[in-house]
Amino acid sequence: MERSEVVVVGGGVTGCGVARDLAQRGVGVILLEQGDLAYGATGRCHGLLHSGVRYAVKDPVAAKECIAENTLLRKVAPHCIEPTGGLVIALPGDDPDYYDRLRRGCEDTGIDCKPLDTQDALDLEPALNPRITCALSVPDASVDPFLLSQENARAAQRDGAVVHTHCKVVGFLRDGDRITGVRVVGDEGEREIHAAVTVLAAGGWGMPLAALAGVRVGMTLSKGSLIIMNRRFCDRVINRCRMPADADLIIPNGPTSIIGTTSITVAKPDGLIIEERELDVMLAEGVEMVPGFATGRTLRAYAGVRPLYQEEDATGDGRNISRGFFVLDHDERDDVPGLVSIVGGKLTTYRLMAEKTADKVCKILGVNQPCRTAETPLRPSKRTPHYRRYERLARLNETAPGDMICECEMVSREAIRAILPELNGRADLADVQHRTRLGMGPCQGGLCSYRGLAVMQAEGLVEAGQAAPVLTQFLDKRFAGIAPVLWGDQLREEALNYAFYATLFGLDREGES
Amino acid sequence: MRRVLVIGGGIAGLTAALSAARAGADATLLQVGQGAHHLFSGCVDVLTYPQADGEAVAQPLTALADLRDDHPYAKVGVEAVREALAEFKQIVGEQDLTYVGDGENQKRVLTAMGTFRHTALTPATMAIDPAEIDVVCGLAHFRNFAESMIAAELSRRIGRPVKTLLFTLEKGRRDAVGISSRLRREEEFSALAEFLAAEAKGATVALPAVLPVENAEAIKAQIEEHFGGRLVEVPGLPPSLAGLRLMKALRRAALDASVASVPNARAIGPVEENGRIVGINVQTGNVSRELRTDAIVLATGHLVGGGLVSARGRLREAVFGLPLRGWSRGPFFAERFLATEGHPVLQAGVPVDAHLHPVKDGGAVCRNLYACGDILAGFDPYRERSGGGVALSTGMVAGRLAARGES
Repeated sequence: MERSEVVVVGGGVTGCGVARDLAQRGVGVILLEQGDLAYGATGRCHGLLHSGVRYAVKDPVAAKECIAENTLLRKVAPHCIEPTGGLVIALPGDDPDYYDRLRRGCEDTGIDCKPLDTQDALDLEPALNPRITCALSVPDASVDPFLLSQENARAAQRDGAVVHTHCKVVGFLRDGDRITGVRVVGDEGEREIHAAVTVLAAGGWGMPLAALAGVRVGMTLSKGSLIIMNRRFCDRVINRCRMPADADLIIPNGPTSIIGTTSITVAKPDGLIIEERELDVMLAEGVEMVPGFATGRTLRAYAGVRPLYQEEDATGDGRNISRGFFVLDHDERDDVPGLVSIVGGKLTTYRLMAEKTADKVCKILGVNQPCRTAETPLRPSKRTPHYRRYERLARLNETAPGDMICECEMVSREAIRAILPELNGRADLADVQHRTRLGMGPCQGGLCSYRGLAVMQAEGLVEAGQAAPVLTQFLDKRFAGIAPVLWGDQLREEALNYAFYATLFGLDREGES
Repeated sequence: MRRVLVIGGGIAGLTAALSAARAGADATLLQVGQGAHHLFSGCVDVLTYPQADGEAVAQPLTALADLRDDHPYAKVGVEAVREALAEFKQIVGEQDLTYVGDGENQKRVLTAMGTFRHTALTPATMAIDPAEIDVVCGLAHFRNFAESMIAAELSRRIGRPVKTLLFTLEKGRRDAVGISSRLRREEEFSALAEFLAAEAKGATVALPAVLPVENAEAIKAQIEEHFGGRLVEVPGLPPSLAGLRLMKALRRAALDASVASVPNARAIGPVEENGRIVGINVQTGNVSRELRTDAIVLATGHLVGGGLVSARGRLREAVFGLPLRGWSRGPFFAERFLATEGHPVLQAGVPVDAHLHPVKDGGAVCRNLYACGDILAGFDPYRERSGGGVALSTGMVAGRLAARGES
């Protein structure tokens, strides 16, 4: 029987952060994730480390949390963050009053926001619409949500935590009213995991899970869709100077740009469909901010769910609900001891959310240890910032020029080998992708999928007869995000990829396992 | 002399230009890039999967008889396909490139996935059945060839052990083209021959398809003589050296046949007079000009070749805006990427009549315009594995018809 002091349900950045915080305080933790780490909203967000400017007018509490955590994470997790900085720009027709309110809001919340001459802004970012009427610089940044989650999980593991991915909670264990653990289904079938405290950090999946545990947690699930373009149009995060609305953010992400988001209330966190009208608005707004946007190639579209906490029944627009977070002690709230939920919040404030959750859990367990995640670096050794692709290239060229497995993202054979032990024997290229960025660049896995598979096979992870099915499964999965925006040059690219994998290798005929 | 302008430098275009020139026309080839040979295996597929839900056919030419009337093969007829294959073998043979097979019976070729592909004509360097392979030899730091995976998959399929070897080339480029150009030099290919003599004497050895563009067959023979065994090339991810050899052979043949070639020339539209196409507007860099002609062969390919271009919800023939058939609305691709039934947009193409004239409302768009190759409607070159045979046969027929002109 598997047993620990705490079981954390959800391997998004929050759950990983909670596991890391608790483990650092010496508490025994098992972290459970139904897919791979960052499978849910974390891996489907825009990768923006908020300065808080987006909330400075409407949600000052969230804004203050954002700027505080933004400043702190740059120190403790620098290798997960590209300190791009951000600009807030207004275009003709945008409400001029909002500019003043935004500046006041930034002052009140402590966000370092500097007005720029519009010509200076255009010199910094020549791709911007030359008709901008004002510009502010803000300390936004680009963050790799996959890496941030993985690094928290790795830090937790170094402190003794156990991480089970691809392990889904299907029920709760009880002793009277008390929750004493969970029942899970993983690769080895169904089993029980016992714990004194169960923490639900499951984002949008928290609502059905809470119901399964017999408590009611009200949430509005707000779907946000995004498009990835093949080019890095701007080196800074571009915000629109207006009340947060659809598609007013463009974020540089490695060699690509991400535009988002929309906000549509949905019933379930699974099976999200990106609607044509969402694509319409994102493509149109993108061109407004960056006129060359239309000449870019749409690589993928994806959608995630913001799990916004709401005590009352979910109604109305998700944008009007606070982005703040809440730690729910279900013993106090619902007379169900042994269960704690962390709800709401944002990726930028994940560490603070984890801290408050761990505080609550420690109090329940009678552990008297302070949180140290605000001052301890996430990774003890010095490490090259993840975004510096040219440094990876230089290193690779020195050692083994033929071993560049993925050119778009500059992933080497060694980088893939290094993470293979984390797969626990599962041959899944998606898990490699999440840990190395293999296949996430402009060619979307066209060439590197085969090479990545070859590295896995050489290390003994792929049985004879399984090579074609493993590759097919990965390519089919990647395609789900490509399909909604498949036209133009990306259609041409996909036709070519299809020609390799179907016509040359026969995967359309051999891909079934 | 009748002028024939061929748009597109892929297999179909080169074949059309050659056929037109051989039929006595003054043939000119316009091309933007290099065709798509370098992306594919170098094999010539005629037909493997006529039905989405059916098995692989064993006799491609025989299977052509069962195709629907709107299939390009039905337009040109089985005899033309047979003739085109024979003529192709002869043409590239004159350029020291040997192809094996005749389209009557399918050949099997081992791929870099360890799967077997079926094809009608194989380059001589690939013409050994996978079941005869004893050893898979990889190259150190060459990322497009997974020797251990190929050997494991092959061994499972043929039911006997397959050995792996890894040959290390001295420092230098590690990509297919770089490796192939090094293997031109005797000291480099002899090192490989020595290695094989020590490790695989007398064996049948599979190697990535990286033999040089020039003299591949002769170099292969020298290596084989040294180690007393046989070499077989395995096609994989691009760039494909076997494809480059094929391109080079066809280009040389075109030169020998006095085909004029205009590189980096994008055809942007027709020059029309009295309802007839009398020329093509061509753009090279920023300069446009008119090229006058008596007949035009459109061989610009499908999406990959650039003959069809798409935008959100739209698909267009790039040069003339010709009517398309096979796709009208809805998603371009099926829900699954590796769908056995193929993808809707890949069925789309330019419908033609029995003389390969693009048609509109049941009649020819223009009596001096012909189309051939991947751009044709009525087939899916990828799902069926029929692109090579269609390119050769429709290219040959279109070239001849354009040279002859019509009454």
